[in-house]
Amino acid sequence: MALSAAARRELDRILGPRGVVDGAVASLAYESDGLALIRGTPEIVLLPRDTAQCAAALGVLAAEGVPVVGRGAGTGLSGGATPVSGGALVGMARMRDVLELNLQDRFARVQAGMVNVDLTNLCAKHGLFYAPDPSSQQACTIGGNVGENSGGPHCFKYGATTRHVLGLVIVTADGQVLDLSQPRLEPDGYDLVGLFVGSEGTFGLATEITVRLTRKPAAVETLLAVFGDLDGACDATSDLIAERLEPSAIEILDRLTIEAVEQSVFRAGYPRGAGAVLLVEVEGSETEVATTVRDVTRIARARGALEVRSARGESERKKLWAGRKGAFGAMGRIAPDLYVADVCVPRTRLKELVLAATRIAAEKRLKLSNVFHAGDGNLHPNISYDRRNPDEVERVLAAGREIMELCVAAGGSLTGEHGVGLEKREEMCLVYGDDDLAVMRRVREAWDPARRMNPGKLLPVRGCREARGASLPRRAAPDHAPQAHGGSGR
Amino acid sequence: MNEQVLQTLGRTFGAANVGTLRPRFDAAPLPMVAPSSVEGFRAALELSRANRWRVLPVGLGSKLSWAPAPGPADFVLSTWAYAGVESYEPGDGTLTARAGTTWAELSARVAVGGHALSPDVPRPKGSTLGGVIAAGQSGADRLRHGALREHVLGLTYLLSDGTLGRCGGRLVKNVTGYDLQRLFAGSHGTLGLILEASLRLFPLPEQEVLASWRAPDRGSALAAARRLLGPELSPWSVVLTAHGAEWTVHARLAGRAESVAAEHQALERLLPGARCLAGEAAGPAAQELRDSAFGEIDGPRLVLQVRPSACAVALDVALEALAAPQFRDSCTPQWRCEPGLAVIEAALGARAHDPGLLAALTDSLARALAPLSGAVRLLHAPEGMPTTAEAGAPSAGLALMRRLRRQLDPAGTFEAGRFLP
Repeated sequence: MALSAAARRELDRILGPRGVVDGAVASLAYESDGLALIRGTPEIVLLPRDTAQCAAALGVLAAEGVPVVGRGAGTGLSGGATPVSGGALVGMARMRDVLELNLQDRFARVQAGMVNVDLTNLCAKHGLFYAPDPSSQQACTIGGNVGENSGGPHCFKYGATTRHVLGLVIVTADGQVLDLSQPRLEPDGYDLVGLFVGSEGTFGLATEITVRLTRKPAAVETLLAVFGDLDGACDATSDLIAERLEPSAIEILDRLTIEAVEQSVFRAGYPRGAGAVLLVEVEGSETEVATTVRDVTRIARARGALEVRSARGESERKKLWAGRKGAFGAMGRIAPDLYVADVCVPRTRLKELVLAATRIAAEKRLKLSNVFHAGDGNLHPNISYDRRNPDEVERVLAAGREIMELCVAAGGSLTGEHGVGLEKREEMCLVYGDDDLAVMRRVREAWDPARRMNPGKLLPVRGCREARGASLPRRAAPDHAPQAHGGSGR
Repeated sequence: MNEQVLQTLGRTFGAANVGTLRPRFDAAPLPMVAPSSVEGFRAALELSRANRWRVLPVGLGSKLSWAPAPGPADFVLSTWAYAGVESYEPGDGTLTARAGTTWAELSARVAVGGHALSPDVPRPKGSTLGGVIAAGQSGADRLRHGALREHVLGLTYLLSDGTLGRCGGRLVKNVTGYDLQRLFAGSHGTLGLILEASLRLFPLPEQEVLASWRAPDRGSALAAARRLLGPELSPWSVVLTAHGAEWTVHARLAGRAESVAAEHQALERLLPGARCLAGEAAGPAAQELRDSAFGEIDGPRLVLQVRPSACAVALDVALEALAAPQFRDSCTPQWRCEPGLAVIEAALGARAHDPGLLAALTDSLARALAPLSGAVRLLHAPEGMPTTAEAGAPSAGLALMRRLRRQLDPAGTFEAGRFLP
């Protein structure tokens, strides 16, 4: 639906000249998020400065019946911020302020566009940090993290975004402000904040977020266990879980990832030629760290680790983590594009499912690398490809789907931290039935009766029975076919 | 009791299977059925739809007076007979069980594999999985493990229209679809019936230490608690209790043996003169401390929550309020305070039963604590309390909450006048 001239003038008045973008800039800069295979064109891009501007703008859009898509930094990997239905894209890029930093009670209230790592940097000197640390934390926003319920390596100990969000200010579809920003131990009534986190922009826009800040641990140690192959690293992880050890992060990088990282600017000193490395971080009191390090080392050796060593000092520790977090960027050395799959599996079945993903990729003549949150059972089988090759794109999508189906059949889930978005919308029927999804639709309608917030995301368009009858489409139908275009996925 | 309801339920479920339950200690008993299958629950809800009966969902009914009084219900639908562990995955640290399984049973089951449940709830034999989740109950380990709602991985629920739904899953990490489990946790049965749930598990502590120290006064007790909550320890709980003017600090350490031993040393330095029980001797005392929260129904219980930095001020406010002449005669408060969470509880005693007086008390405390992000709840409130003065009357988002409830329970079958004003 096109905006009326009067509405356009009203938006200009509310947001000012820097707050409204349209034309070629809007269509190019905001056509997709990190899932570059699917694109859309927003009719207009709005960049509010605060909650009041955002609410006033959404009020105008409500009167016009225009769809609204929220966007943080556009680093999402499931198409959540892609404007497939046109309409208005509301970006949080100009909402980056810290509104309150409470060191005593250890929380911060920030605007939704604040970059994840900026918050941690800001409170580092006070001995605090913000725990969720997605690989994209140098760019992604807290608001986007709320939308997707983002994870990251240290979520193994600290939990995903939802555990750290204490309050929200939400602008609803009709432009009303819902102030749930008071950090309370227990919600007043239903847990609206908990329900909102991970709703992928389909309930409303979070404009201000109250987050828990975590005290830095007394001691930290980062272990690197080097394995001849991926199996040993996976088995060691399963053993760590079975022994109920509690490090703060358990990550695996495979041979191809190690090579890519070591050839890139993120060079971390991972041993070249290793089949896999297990990166384990242990935090807590001195004693806790010492005993856990001892046990992790024992388990890794028992599973055939060729070497287990601790990072020597803070700078090596940082380097090891920079390598891990830069791994997706480093993949650019392998091929121009990267398809990052994101599935979760029971941690008793890591080895088997990683192997199966490798087999599927090999059968389809694709280059697969693995870098993943092993401790959470959160696999990221990454397929390097070139989107200018339509046949390869087809094979990538087919492999992605096959891996997903296999993991779900093994008791896994569709997504561990990247969200459903457009990418896995139709695949929701793999894990849920029509009744489950109908209830989710009812919940969504309580928030947004006109279904204007991020339409076409998260919930399948067709019923599962119908879709199964017609055999599921390979992927949510993009508005635009894959096309030759610069930039890569993550 | 409504004879027609009793007879109809008897015809469907067999007269021997229809019992009664008092929804609150001061209310008349209601007919109760406790099906042991999904079909049974569906049949009960079908009867409620056909007859426009209102249903009060319960587990064992131990927390019914935590939320505002249920309105007129026609019968009680209990999940207690729908029990059993569906799956315990020691290698994955997860548990899935039916709603009626008691917390004690679940704890015993996972302890075999070296796991513990969170929350560590008071009186686990009388609490069911579904009831704990519906009441949004957190436990004595909250300081260490966080709130219950963070550990519910997935649910199976039955709506009043007979829809059997599922959300989340059995995995420790999962963002597939809306987190409806967060909506159900703490909803006091007003949205639907929780039939099954999956939980994340925690390592069973290898060792524990329970320290207690009698403080000369309240100020020293709070100062001691602040030291224990500092960076040197990560206790399971730090609790202050008071009998009259006498305050005792209790700290519970639990975890891996070596860590607890090191923390024990630090604790003795931070709390010189504390009496410490270790190993098996700590168990019963720790249980007693745990069970003193949300105590048995010994009259209304005031629960105050503020920001941690405001805990001492809030305690002052509450003590002063209850020392006022109008409360001094009827209330005999037993205090309990968790400074790390900034929760203050006062069991007001059996003589505190005047609804008007209690409403005045909660109102005045709510006003006084509002600048400190305070929240005031009154558990086990006597009949006749105005709802707004009771537990968790929400201020923001009320219209949205009502829409959510209408979406999931359009006929108001589970509403029973409860929870939302």
